Amino acid sequence: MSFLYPRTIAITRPRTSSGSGVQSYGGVVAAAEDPVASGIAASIQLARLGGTGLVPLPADAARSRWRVFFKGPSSLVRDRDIITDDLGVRYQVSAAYWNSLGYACECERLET
Amino acid sequence: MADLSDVMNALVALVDHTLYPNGDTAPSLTGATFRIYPGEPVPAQLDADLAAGTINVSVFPLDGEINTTRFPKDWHQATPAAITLAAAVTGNTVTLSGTVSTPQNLALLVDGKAYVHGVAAGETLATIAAALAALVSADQPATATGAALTVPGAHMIVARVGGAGTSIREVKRQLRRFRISFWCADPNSRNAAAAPVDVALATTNFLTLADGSAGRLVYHASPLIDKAETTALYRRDLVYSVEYGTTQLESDTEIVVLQENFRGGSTPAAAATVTFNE
Repeated sequence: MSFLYPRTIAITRPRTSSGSGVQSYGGVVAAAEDPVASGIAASIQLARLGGTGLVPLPADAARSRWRVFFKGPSSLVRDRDIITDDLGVRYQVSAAYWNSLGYACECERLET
Repeated sequence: MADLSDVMNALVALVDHTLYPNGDTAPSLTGATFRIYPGEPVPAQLDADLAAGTINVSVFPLDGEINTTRFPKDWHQATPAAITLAAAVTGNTVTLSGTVSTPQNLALLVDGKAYVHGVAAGETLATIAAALAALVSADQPATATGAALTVPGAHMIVARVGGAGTSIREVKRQLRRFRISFWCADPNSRNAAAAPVDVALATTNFLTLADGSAGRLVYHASPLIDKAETTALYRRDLVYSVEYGTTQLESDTEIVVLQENFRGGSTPAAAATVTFNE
Protein backbone atom coordinates (compact mmCIF):
# COMPACT_ATOMS: atom_id res chain seq x y z
CA MET A 1 0.00 0.00 0.00
CA SER A 2 1.35 3.40 -0.93
CA PHE A 3 0.34 6.93 -0.10
CA LEU A 4 -0.68 7.64 -3.70
CA TYR A 5 -2.42 4.29 -4.29
CA PRO A 6 -3.85 3.17 -0.93
CA ARG A 7 -6.51 0.84 -2.31
CA THR A 8 -6.44 -2.49 -4.14
CA ILE A 9 -8.73 -3.29 -7.05
CA ALA A 10 -9.63 -6.19 -9.32
CA ILE A 11 -10.94 -5.79 -12.85
CA THR A 12 -13.43 -8.14 -14.46
CA ARG A 13 -15.26 -8.15 -17.78
CA PRO A 14 -18.79 -9.36 -18.53
CA ARG A 15 -18.48 -12.62 -20.42
CA THR A 16 -19.31 -12.56 -24.10
CA SER A 17 -20.51 -15.45 -26.19
CA SER A 18 -19.65 -16.57 -29.69
CA GLY A 19 -22.55 -18.98 -30.14
CA SER A 20 -25.47 -18.70 -32.52
CA GLY A 21 -29.13 -19.63 -32.33
CA VAL A 22 -30.96 -19.72 -29.03
CA GLN A 23 -28.97 -18.16 -26.18
CA SER A 24 -29.50 -17.92 -22.45
CA TYR A 25 -31.26 -14.91 -20.93
CA GLY A 26 -29.69 -11.63 -22.06
CA GLY A 27 -28.20 -9.58 -19.25
CA VAL A 28 -25.15 -9.21 -17.08
CA VAL A 29 -24.67 -11.22 -13.90
CA ALA A 30 -21.70 -10.93 -11.59
CA ALA A 31 -21.11 -14.67 -11.72
CA ALA A 32 -20.55 -14.49 -15.47
CA GLU A 33 -17.56 -12.15 -15.50
CA ASP A 34 -14.07 -13.04 -16.62
CA PRO A 35 -11.09 -11.77 -14.61
CA VAL A 36 -8.90 -9.20 -16.34
CA ALA A 37 -6.50 -8.22 -13.58
CA SER A 38 -6.34 -8.23 -9.79
CA GLY A 39 -4.20 -6.95 -6.94
CA ILE A 40 -3.71 -3.56 -8.58
CA ALA A 41 -2.85 -0.64 -6.30
CA ALA A 42 -5.28 2.20 -6.94
CA SER A 43 -6.64 5.48 -5.72
CA ILE A 44 -10.43 5.82 -5.70
CA GLN A 45 -11.74 9.36 -5.55
CA LEU A 46 -15.25 10.75 -5.54
CA ALA A 47 -16.01 12.65 -8.74
CA ARG A 48 -19.58 13.83 -8.20
CA LEU A 49 -23.02 12.95 -6.93
CA GLY A 50 -26.23 13.07 -8.88
CA GLY A 51 -29.49 11.32 -9.55
CA THR A 52 -31.37 8.65 -7.66
CA GLY A 53 -30.61 4.96 -7.67
CA LEU A 54 -31.40 2.69 -10.60
CA VAL A 55 -34.32 1.38 -8.58
CA PRO A 56 -35.60 4.45 -6.70
CA LEU A 57 -36.34 3.55 -3.11
CA PRO A 58 -37.49 5.88 -0.31
CA ALA A 59 -34.28 5.52 1.67
CA ASP A 60 -31.99 5.84 -1.33
CA ALA A 61 -28.83 7.91 -1.24
CA ALA A 62 -27.74 9.77 -4.36
CA ARG A 63 -25.90 7.91 -7.10
CA SER A 64 -22.21 8.64 -7.24
CA ARG A 65 -19.50 8.75 -9.84
CA TRP A 66 -15.91 8.00 -9.00
CA ARG A 67 -12.49 8.20 -10.59
CA VAL A 68 -10.22 5.24 -10.18
CA PHE A 69 -6.52 5.93 -10.74
CA PHE A 70 -4.04 3.13 -11.23
CA LYS A 71 -1.07 2.13 -13.36
CA GLY A 72 -1.41 -0.32 -16.20
CA PRO A 73 -0.89 -0.83 -19.93
CA SER A 74 -3.20 1.07 -22.27
CA SER A 75 -5.10 -2.01 -23.43
CA LEU A 76 -5.90 -3.32 -19.96
CA VAL A 77 -9.32 -1.78 -19.32
CA ARG A 78 -12.30 -1.25 -21.60
CA ASP A 79 -15.46 0.75 -21.19
CA ARG A 80 -18.10 -1.26 -19.27
CA ASP A 81 -15.52 -3.34 -17.40
CA ILE A 82 -16.19 -3.85 -13.72
CA ILE A 83 -13.77 -2.67 -11.01
CA THR A 84 -14.15 -4.20 -7.56
CA ASP A 85 -12.28 -2.57 -4.70
CA ASP A 86 -10.86 -4.09 -1.54
CA LEU A 87 -14.15 -3.45 0.30
CA GLY A 88 -16.16 -5.35 -2.31
CA VAL A 89 -17.70 -2.25 -3.83
CA ARG A 90 -18.28 -2.56 -7.56
CA TYR A 91 -17.87 0.17 -10.17
CA GLN A 92 -18.68 0.11 -13.87
CA VAL A 93 -16.16 1.86 -16.09
CA SER A 94 -17.87 4.57 -18.15
CA ALA A 95 -14.71 5.89 -19.77
CA ALA A 96 -11.39 4.05 -19.54
CA TYR A 97 -9.17 7.10 -19.95
CA TRP A 98 -5.47 6.30 -20.17
CA ASN A 99 -2.36 8.43 -20.55
CA SER A 100 1.32 7.93 -19.88
CA LEU A 101 0.73 8.27 -16.13
CA GLY A 102 -1.74 5.41 -16.11
CA TYR A 103 -5.51 5.09 -15.94
CA ALA A 104 -8.05 7.60 -14.71
CA CYS A 105 -11.21 5.60 -15.16
CA GLU A 106 -14.48 7.46 -14.84
CA CYS A 107 -16.81 5.04 -13.11
CA GLU A 108 -20.28 4.68 -11.68
CA ARG A 109 -20.65 2.91 -8.38
CA LEU A 110 -22.98 -0.06 -8.84
CA GLU A 111 -25.63 -0.09 -6.17
CA THR A 112 -29.38 -0.32 -6.26
CA MET B 1 -46.83 -23.85 -15.00
CA ALA B 2 -47.27 -21.23 -17.73
CA ASP B 3 -45.68 -17.95 -16.82
CA LEU B 4 -44.36 -14.79 -18.44
CA SER B 5 -40.96 -16.41 -18.87
CA ASP B 6 -42.56 -19.36 -20.69
CA VAL B 7 -44.13 -16.98 -23.22
CA MET B 8 -40.76 -15.33 -23.81
CA ASN B 9 -39.13 -18.73 -24.29
CA ALA B 10 -41.88 -19.81 -26.70
CA LEU B 11 -41.37 -16.66 -28.77
CA VAL B 12 -37.61 -17.26 -28.78
CA ALA B 13 -38.21 -20.81 -29.99
CA LEU B 14 -40.53 -19.64 -32.76
CA VAL B 15 -38.05 -17.00 -33.95
CA ASP B 16 -35.22 -19.52 -33.79
CA HIS B 17 -37.20 -22.09 -35.76
CA THR B 18 -37.90 -19.47 -38.43
CA LEU B 19 -34.35 -18.18 -38.75
CA TYR B 20 -32.71 -21.58 -38.31
CA PRO B 21 -35.22 -23.93 -39.98
CA ASN B 22 -32.68 -26.76 -40.06
CA GLY B 23 -31.38 -26.29 -36.53
CA ASP B 24 -28.91 -23.93 -34.90
CA THR B 25 -25.90 -25.79 -36.26
CA ALA B 26 -27.04 -25.42 -39.89
CA PRO B 27 -26.81 -22.17 -41.88
CA SER B 28 -29.52 -19.64 -41.11
CA LEU B 29 -32.34 -18.64 -43.45
CA THR B 30 -30.55 -15.46 -44.54
CA GLY B 31 -26.98 -16.71 -44.17
CA ALA B 32 -26.30 -14.32 -41.29
CA THR B 33 -25.46 -15.41 -37.77
CA PHE B 34 -28.25 -14.81 -35.26
CA ARG B 35 -28.21 -14.81 -31.49
CA ILE B 36 -31.74 -15.17 -30.19
CA TYR B 37 -32.60 -14.84 -26.51
CA PRO B 38 -35.08 -13.55 -23.94
CA GLY B 39 -33.95 -10.38 -22.18
CA GLU B 40 -32.02 -7.36 -23.38
CA PRO B 41 -28.63 -7.29 -25.14
CA VAL B 42 -25.44 -6.79 -23.16
CA PRO B 43 -23.84 -3.59 -24.57
CA ALA B 44 -20.28 -4.90 -24.93
CA GLN B 45 -21.56 -8.06 -26.59
CA LEU B 46 -23.82 -6.06 -28.88
CA ASP B 47 -20.95 -3.82 -29.99
CA ALA B 48 -18.81 -6.84 -30.81
CA ASP B 49 -21.68 -8.55 -32.64
CA LEU B 50 -22.54 -5.49 -34.71
CA ALA B 51 -18.90 -5.19 -35.75
CA ALA B 52 -18.91 -8.86 -36.79
CA GLY B 53 -22.27 -8.64 -38.59
CA THR B 54 -23.98 -10.93 -36.09
CA ILE B 55 -27.64 -10.07 -35.56
CA ASN B 56 -29.08 -10.11 -32.05
CA VAL B 57 -32.77 -10.89 -31.67
CA SER B 58 -34.07 -10.12 -28.20
CA VAL B 59 -37.51 -10.84 -26.75
CA PHE B 60 -38.79 -8.69 -23.94
CA PRO B 61 -42.26 -7.88 -22.54
CA LEU B 62 -43.52 -4.31 -22.67
CA ASP B 63 -44.80 -2.65 -19.52
CA GLY B 64 -48.49 -2.88 -18.76
CA GLU B 65 -50.95 -5.65 -19.38
CA ILE B 66 -54.68 -6.28 -19.44
CA ASN B 67 -56.32 -8.64 -16.99
CA THR B 68 -58.49 -10.96 -19.09
CA THR B 69 -59.24 -13.56 -16.41
CA ARG B 70 -62.60 -15.11 -17.21
CA PHE B 71 -62.48 -18.87 -16.72
CA PRO B 72 -63.28 -20.89 -13.60
CA LYS B 73 -60.30 -22.21 -11.70
CA ASP B 74 -61.23 -25.84 -12.27
CA TRP B 75 -58.68 -28.62 -12.44
CA HIS B 76 -58.33 -30.62 -15.65
CA GLN B 77 -56.21 -33.64 -16.38
CA ALA B 78 -52.97 -32.66 -18.08
CA THR B 79 -51.17 -35.98 -18.32
CA PRO B 80 -52.60 -39.34 -17.23
CA ALA B 81 -50.71 -41.64 -14.90
CA ALA B 82 -48.13 -43.80 -16.63
CA ILE B 83 -48.92 -47.33 -15.55
CA THR B 84 -46.20 -49.76 -16.54
CA LEU B 85 -46.89 -52.54 -14.03
CA ALA B 86 -49.69 -55.08 -14.08
CA ALA B 87 -50.95 -57.54 -11.48
CA ALA B 88 -53.01 -60.60 -12.42
CA VAL B 89 -54.84 -62.76 -9.86
CA THR B 90 -55.21 -66.46 -10.56
CA GLY B 91 -56.69 -68.45 -7.69
CA ASN B 92 -54.62 -67.56 -4.63
CA THR B 93 -51.64 -66.27 -6.61
CA VAL B 94 -50.89 -62.74 -7.77
CA THR B 95 -48.44 -62.45 -10.65
CA LEU B 96 -46.71 -59.15 -11.36
CA SER B 97 -45.56 -58.17 -14.83
CA GLY B 98 -44.48 -55.15 -16.80
CA THR B 99 -41.69 -52.64 -16.34
CA VAL B 100 -40.81 -51.18 -12.97
CA SER B 101 -40.99 -47.39 -12.89
CA THR B 102 -41.97 -44.77 -10.35
CA PRO B 103 -44.25 -43.37 -9.11
CA GLN B 104 -46.57 -46.39 -8.89
CA ASN B 105 -48.44 -48.11 -6.09
CA LEU B 106 -49.46 -51.75 -5.91
CA ALA B 107 -52.38 -52.64 -3.70
CA LEU B 108 -53.77 -55.98 -2.62
CA LEU B 109 -57.14 -56.48 -0.98
CA VAL B 110 -56.92 -59.81 0.77
CA ASP B 111 -60.07 -60.93 2.55
CA GLY B 112 -61.18 -57.31 2.85
CA LYS B 113 -57.92 -55.94 4.22
CA ALA B 114 -55.71 -53.59 2.21
CA TYR B 115 -51.95 -53.89 1.69
CA VAL B 116 -50.28 -51.13 -0.32
CA HIS B 117 -46.68 -50.95 -1.49
CA GLY B 118 -45.16 -47.81 -3.03
CA VAL B 119 -42.70 -48.76 -5.74
CA ALA B 120 -39.23 -47.32 -5.13
CA ALA B 121 -36.54 -46.62 -7.67
CA GLY B 122 -34.33 -49.62 -8.30
CA GLU B 123 -36.89 -52.22 -7.33
CA THR B 124 -37.65 -55.33 -9.37
CA LEU B 125 -40.84 -57.32 -9.78
CA ALA B 126 -39.42 -59.87 -7.33
CA THR B 127 -38.69 -57.29 -4.61
CA ILE B 128 -42.15 -55.80 -5.02
CA ALA B 129 -43.78 -59.23 -4.71
CA ALA B 130 -41.65 -59.96 -1.66
CA ALA B 131 -42.60 -56.63 -0.06
CA LEU B 132 -46.31 -57.30 -0.59
CA ALA B 133 -45.96 -60.83 0.75
CA ALA B 134 -44.27 -59.44 3.86
CA LEU B 135 -47.17 -57.02 4.40
CA VAL B 136 -49.76 -59.78 4.04
CA SER B 137 -47.76 -62.09 6.31
CA ALA B 138 -48.58 -59.89 9.25
CA ASP B 139 -52.13 -61.29 9.09
CA GLN B 140 -51.89 -64.64 7.32
CA PRO B 141 -49.26 -66.78 5.61
CA ALA B 142 -48.02 -65.42 2.27
CA THR B 143 -44.99 -66.34 0.18
CA ALA B 144 -43.26 -64.78 -2.78
CA THR B 145 -41.49 -66.63 -5.55
CA GLY B 146 -39.99 -64.38 -8.17
CA ALA B 147 -42.65 -62.04 -9.51
CA ALA B 148 -45.51 -64.06 -7.97
CA LEU B 149 -46.89 -64.13 -4.47
CA THR B 150 -49.28 -66.63 -3.03
CA VAL B 151 -51.67 -66.33 -0.10
CA PRO B 152 -52.80 -69.96 0.41
CA GLY B 153 -55.52 -69.22 2.95
CA ALA B 154 -57.12 -66.23 1.22
CA HIS B 155 -60.80 -66.33 0.32
CA MET B 156 -60.72 -63.23 -1.90
CA ILE B 157 -57.80 -61.37 -3.50
CA VAL B 158 -58.05 -58.15 -5.52
CA ALA B 159 -54.92 -56.58 -7.04
CA ARG B 160 -54.67 -52.98 -8.24
CA VAL B 161 -51.97 -50.77 -9.72
CA GLY B 162 -52.07 -46.99 -9.50
CA GLY B 163 -49.77 -44.18 -10.59
CA ALA B 164 -49.51 -40.42 -10.56
CA GLY B 165 -50.55 -38.03 -13.30
CA THR B 166 -50.68 -34.27 -13.46
CA SER B 167 -53.58 -31.86 -13.38
CA ILE B 168 -53.63 -28.29 -14.60
CA ARG B 169 -55.81 -25.28 -13.93
CA GLU B 170 -55.77 -21.69 -15.07
CA VAL B 171 -55.57 -19.32 -12.12
CA LYS B 172 -55.56 -16.04 -14.06
CA ARG B 173 -55.31 -14.77 -17.63
CA GLN B 174 -53.63 -11.73 -19.11
CA LEU B 175 -52.89 -10.01 -22.38
CA ARG B 176 -49.40 -8.60 -22.70
CA ARG B 177 -47.36 -7.16 -25.53
CA PHE B 178 -43.93 -8.48 -26.35
CA ARG B 179 -41.20 -6.76 -28.31
CA ILE B 180 -39.08 -8.89 -30.63
CA SER B 181 -36.13 -6.62 -31.47
CA PHE B 182 -33.68 -7.11 -34.31
CA TRP B 183 -30.32 -5.42 -33.60
CA CYS B 184 -28.60 -5.25 -36.99
CA ALA B 185 -25.49 -3.64 -38.42
CA ASP B 186 -27.18 -2.43 -41.61
CA PRO B 187 -30.68 -1.93 -42.98
CA ASN B 188 -30.47 -4.71 -45.56
CA SER B 189 -29.69 -7.44 -43.07
CA ARG B 190 -32.43 -6.03 -40.86
CA ASN B 191 -35.01 -6.33 -43.62
CA ALA B 192 -33.89 -9.82 -44.54
CA ALA B 193 -34.13 -11.01 -40.95
CA ALA B 194 -37.28 -9.32 -39.71
CA ALA B 195 -39.58 -9.99 -42.66
CA PRO B 196 -39.74 -13.80 -42.45
CA VAL B 197 -40.08 -13.68 -38.67
CA ASP B 198 -42.97 -11.23 -38.99
CA VAL B 199 -44.73 -13.62 -41.35
CA ALA B 200 -44.08 -16.58 -39.07
CA LEU B 201 -45.48 -14.76 -36.07
CA ALA B 202 -48.48 -13.40 -38.00
CA THR B 203 -49.41 -16.86 -39.25
CA THR B 204 -49.16 -18.42 -35.79
CA ASN B 205 -52.50 -18.12 -34.05
CA PHE B 206 -51.51 -19.88 -30.87
CA LEU B 207 -48.15 -20.27 -29.18
CA THR B 208 -47.71 -23.60 -27.46
CA LEU B 209 -46.23 -23.06 -24.01
CA ALA B 210 -44.08 -25.43 -22.01
CA ASP B 211 -46.94 -26.89 -19.95
CA GLY B 212 -49.07 -27.59 -23.02
CA SER B 213 -51.32 -24.54 -22.65
CA ALA B 214 -51.53 -21.99 -25.46
CA GLY B 215 -51.23 -18.24 -25.88
CA ARG B 216 -53.15 -16.26 -28.51
CA LEU B 217 -50.71 -14.30 -30.70
CA VAL B 218 -51.84 -11.04 -32.34
CA TYR B 219 -49.80 -8.47 -34.31
CA HIS B 220 -49.63 -4.87 -33.08
CA ALA B 221 -46.79 -2.81 -34.51
CA SER B 222 -43.44 -2.86 -36.25
CA PRO B 223 -41.41 0.31 -35.61
CA LEU B 224 -38.05 0.99 -37.24
CA ILE B 225 -35.45 2.64 -35.02
CA ASP B 226 -32.55 4.32 -36.79
CA LYS B 227 -31.54 6.74 -34.04
CA ALA B 228 -28.28 4.91 -33.43
CA GLU B 229 -27.26 4.55 -37.07
CA THR B 230 -24.06 6.52 -36.40
CA THR B 231 -22.99 3.55 -34.29
CA ALA B 232 -23.99 1.17 -37.10
CA LEU B 233 -27.07 -0.02 -35.26
CA TYR B 234 -30.28 -0.50 -37.22
CA ARG B 235 -33.11 -1.86 -35.17
CA ARG B 236 -36.59 -3.10 -35.94
CA ASP B 237 -39.13 -4.18 -33.40
CA LEU B 238 -42.01 -6.56 -33.95
CA VAL B 239 -44.66 -6.00 -31.32
CA TYR B 240 -47.12 -8.83 -30.76
CA SER B 241 -49.55 -9.39 -27.95
CA VAL B 242 -49.97 -12.75 -26.31
CA GLU B 243 -53.04 -13.60 -24.29
CA TYR B 244 -52.14 -16.50 -22.06
CA GLY B 245 -53.27 -18.12 -18.88
CA THR B 246 -51.10 -18.44 -15.81
CA THR B 247 -51.47 -22.08 -14.93
CA GLN B 248 -50.85 -24.21 -11.91
CA LEU B 249 -49.79 -27.84 -12.14
CA GLU B 250 -50.07 -30.50 -9.48
CA SER B 251 -49.28 -34.17 -9.27
CA ASP B 252 -52.28 -36.37 -8.51
CA THR B 253 -51.89 -39.90 -7.20
CA GLU B 254 -54.50 -42.43 -8.24
CA ILE B 255 -56.57 -43.99 -5.46
CA VAL B 256 -56.00 -47.72 -5.23
CA VAL B 257 -57.84 -48.46 -2.01
CA LEU B 258 -60.77 -46.80 -0.25
CA GLN B 259 -60.79 -47.14 3.50
CA GLU B 260 -63.79 -46.30 5.68
CA ASN B 261 -63.77 -46.27 9.45
CA PHE B 262 -67.06 -46.70 11.33
CA ARG B 263 -67.84 -46.38 15.00
CA GLY B 264 -71.40 -46.65 16.29
CA GLY B 265 -73.82 -48.29 18.71
CA SER B 266 -75.76 -47.04 21.72
CA THR B 267 -72.51 -45.67 23.23
CA PRO B 268 -70.41 -44.68 20.21
CA ALA B 269 -67.55 -43.34 22.30
CA ALA B 270 -67.04 -46.75 23.83
CA ALA B 271 -67.53 -48.70 20.61
CA ALA B 272 -64.64 -50.15 18.68
CA THR B 273 -63.76 -48.71 15.25
CA VAL B 274 -64.63 -50.97 12.35
CA THR B 275 -62.61 -50.53 9.17
CA PHE B 276 -63.85 -51.41 5.69
CA ASN B 277 -61.54 -51.55 2.69
CA GLU B 278 -62.84 -51.60 -0.82
